[in-house]
Amino acid sequence: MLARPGATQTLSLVGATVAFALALLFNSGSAHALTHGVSLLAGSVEEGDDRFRPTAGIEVAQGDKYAGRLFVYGREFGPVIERTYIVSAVRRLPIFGLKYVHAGFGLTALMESTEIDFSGADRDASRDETKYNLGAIVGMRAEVPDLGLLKLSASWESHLYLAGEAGILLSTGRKQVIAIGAGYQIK
Amino acid sequence: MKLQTPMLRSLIVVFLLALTTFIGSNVAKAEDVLTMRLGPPGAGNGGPNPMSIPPGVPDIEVTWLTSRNFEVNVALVPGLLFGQRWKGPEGIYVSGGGGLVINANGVGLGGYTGFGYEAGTGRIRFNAEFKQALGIAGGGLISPYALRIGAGMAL
Repeated sequence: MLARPGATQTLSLVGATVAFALALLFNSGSAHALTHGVSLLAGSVEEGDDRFRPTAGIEVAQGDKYAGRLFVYGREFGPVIERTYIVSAVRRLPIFGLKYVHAGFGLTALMESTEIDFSGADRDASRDETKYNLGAIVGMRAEVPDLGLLKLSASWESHLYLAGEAGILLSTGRKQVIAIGAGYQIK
Repeated sequence: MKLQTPMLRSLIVVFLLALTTFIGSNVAKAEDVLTMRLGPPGAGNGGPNPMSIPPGVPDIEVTWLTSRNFEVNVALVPGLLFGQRWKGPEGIYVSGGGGLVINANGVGLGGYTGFGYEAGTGRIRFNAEFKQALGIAGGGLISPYALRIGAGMAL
């Protein structure tokens, strides 16, 4: 059963659609257009079950070629605390001759922690587990053009992690992130 | 897999007709490439299982690429998708477009992007591709994906 779109999902999808549309609409020339900059990101993440969860992050871009990103999300449910951290580095390529739309290819690292914290008589049942994984990231990104020092962007990307031994038969775990970003650019 | 409305069934018929017309008008082009890839799909039910041996129907995708870099992708998941391909350096390519997006939670219209690598310029070429799609179905979003490898044959 599909979940109805929540506010975060709707916001990130509408924002991403608008940013991609503006990038296409105001495209001119084929030169790279991205600049150095730092952006805060907000969006939604999906983990293979068509359910989107809110996420927040930060992006540091170095010129028009490289960028690093950190996304954090999780939840608290009674004594259970889940946290997921995704760190990625991408190489960007302008595609389709467009000035403000880029594809990104790179590496990603994942840290997932689950903490079950009981108090009182059940204290011995408390558990703490952390898992790590490395993988590849691919995605597309668009930037709204001509905003001066303001930097508005949107991205749709997948973080792919091989699922243990089943990775030989191409089984993967994926964190899909649709995000919008706002930040400051340095020319 | 639910095909709930007559409208949805009509859309499928329209897409299949468009596909048939497209194939019929492009068979003779020298640079067309027909590619078959194998790999398990992420169908919205928690992630892909390992690929079956021998591969089952959900594990198979066929792509027809024309000399003008227009592509038609046929697979049970992520669906029946039409798009344009951009070829980058070192065999890397990116594609984007739209069509009928399918996964275990529904069928709907949507868009896709693909990120691939093709090695070789001869008649037979190695191909690996990751494809992600987003579709609107059942009042929500479906987002199937697949990582597949295979081979292409220049026609």
